[in-house]
Amino acid sequence: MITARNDMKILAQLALLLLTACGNGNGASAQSQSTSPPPTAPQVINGIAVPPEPDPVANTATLLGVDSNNNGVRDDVERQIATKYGANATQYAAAIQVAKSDQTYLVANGDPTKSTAATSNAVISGACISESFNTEWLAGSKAIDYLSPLTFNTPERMAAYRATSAASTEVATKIPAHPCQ
Amino acid sequence: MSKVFRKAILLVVAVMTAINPMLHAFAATACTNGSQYFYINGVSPWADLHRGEAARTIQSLLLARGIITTEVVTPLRNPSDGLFIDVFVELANQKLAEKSAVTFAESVQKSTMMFTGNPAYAMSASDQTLLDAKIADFFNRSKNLPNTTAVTAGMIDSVSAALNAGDKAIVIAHSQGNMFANAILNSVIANQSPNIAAGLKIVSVATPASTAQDSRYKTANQDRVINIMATTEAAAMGAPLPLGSNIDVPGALNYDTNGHGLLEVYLNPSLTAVDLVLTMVGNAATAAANPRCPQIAAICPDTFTQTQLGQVRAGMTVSQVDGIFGCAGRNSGFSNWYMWYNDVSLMSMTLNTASVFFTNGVYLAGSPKSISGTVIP
Repeated sequence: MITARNDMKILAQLALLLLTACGNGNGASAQSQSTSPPPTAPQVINGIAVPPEPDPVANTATLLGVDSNNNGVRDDVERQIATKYGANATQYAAAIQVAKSDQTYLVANGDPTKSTAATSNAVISGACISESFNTEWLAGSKAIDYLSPLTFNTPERMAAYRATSAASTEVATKIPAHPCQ
Repeated sequence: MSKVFRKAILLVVAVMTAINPMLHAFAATACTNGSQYFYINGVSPWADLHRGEAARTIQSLLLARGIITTEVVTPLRNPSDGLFIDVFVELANQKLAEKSAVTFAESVQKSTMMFTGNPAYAMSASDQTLLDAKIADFFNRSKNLPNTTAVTAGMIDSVSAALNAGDKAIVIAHSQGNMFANAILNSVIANQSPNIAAGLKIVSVATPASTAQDSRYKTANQDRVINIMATTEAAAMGAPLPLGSNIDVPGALNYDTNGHGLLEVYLNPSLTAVDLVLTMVGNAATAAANPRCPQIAAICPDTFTQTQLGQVRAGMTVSQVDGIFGCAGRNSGFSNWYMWYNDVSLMSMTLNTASVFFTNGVYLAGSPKSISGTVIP
């Protein structure tokens, strides 16, 4: 017979199990990435011109970090995207679009109007991922789970993500026929 | 016939002739005879990105199978932020709210007690500390749980807008998204006419809910989130249990160790569930009825006079008219015009020209004191 006490125990264990399983959104794991040594810094990765690896201290000193070419993607994120997806132009472009969407969460940082726009843009970027990875089943989902922790890689940035998510009043975003920019 | 009466008739005919095109334009706008598809996500990290991805993937699959042609799948925002523990509480409250006698506030209190009732967890100290911190965190957040209500209201508005535009609304929900989908269904049934509600069909995938519209759901035997977690949670709270699993998906755990993911398990082209899920969507679209339009066509009589009266639904108070519609292909005379009242019923009408005024097919002012007629079921 299952007792109430056993139920509590099971629930607690399940909660911990799934906390671990759903740890993609945890800033801690992403934080560890930012402390890894910066790669030697080629200025061209997979044939794509990229900004130099930013100074880690400067890059984490502010919420938005370093975006030396002002393209809406943090320099360290842009380099990692070029490394992972640069060989495929379509997937690279989709990944950059996701990174730009993620960065808008930091820019919004809980501002209601900007937050609503940010989550709406994210929906469209997610649809772009589906379009761009459609022949590689599940690779798109994995790309999202890889990309977003790159941007939200500190507790402050994760807090900004949550603030923007909470402040958004978006309900239903119509996805355009061609979601990739 | 007196001169005054004849002038009145001529005036009315002139007015109706002038507004005929506008009325038809309005009717055409209102009766699109189309379908709108919605997707409600469950728990997910990076939920906004993933729901966009999932909605577009569903759309692509439906297109490939010929279930849709030009329609799009619009994702409705369930702002799960990927921390399972948050949604665990939200789901707990939603499950408790399935018990009609339990108010939302009571459910919050009960689930709070469940987690803070000093159970003797056999955990390590560090695990206990972690769990305590998480519990404290999410119960602080639970103070804002009425957000669930606001989110649900937004979804209801979106789906109702589709229905009120004359479109079918097919809502595909995954996991916790089903709790919202059922709330939408309950709201539409409670607040809209049967004609409108007949346009809404819910397609439930991996549902933790205890009910599914027309038993239209698929949950895999391999789905540990529903079959173990949600079931245990519901049992511990005394809430209605989730519907039992009803499909076997061999190999599901090779793609998702929880056997639960929408894309990983239920829409995975390498597994068997995708055919069943998409067929379910197609069947739902077939079963749904376009609000208004078919009923309008059905009740247009060959002959109809101003004196043809029927029964107004008992208890109905006609205080405001929402719009006026014409029967397709007919544009002469009063007898072809029908009115909506507050999206509740379609009524034929008897005109009292002294009290009914229209511009662009929209009722403007005046008490429609002579509106009467038959409520079309």
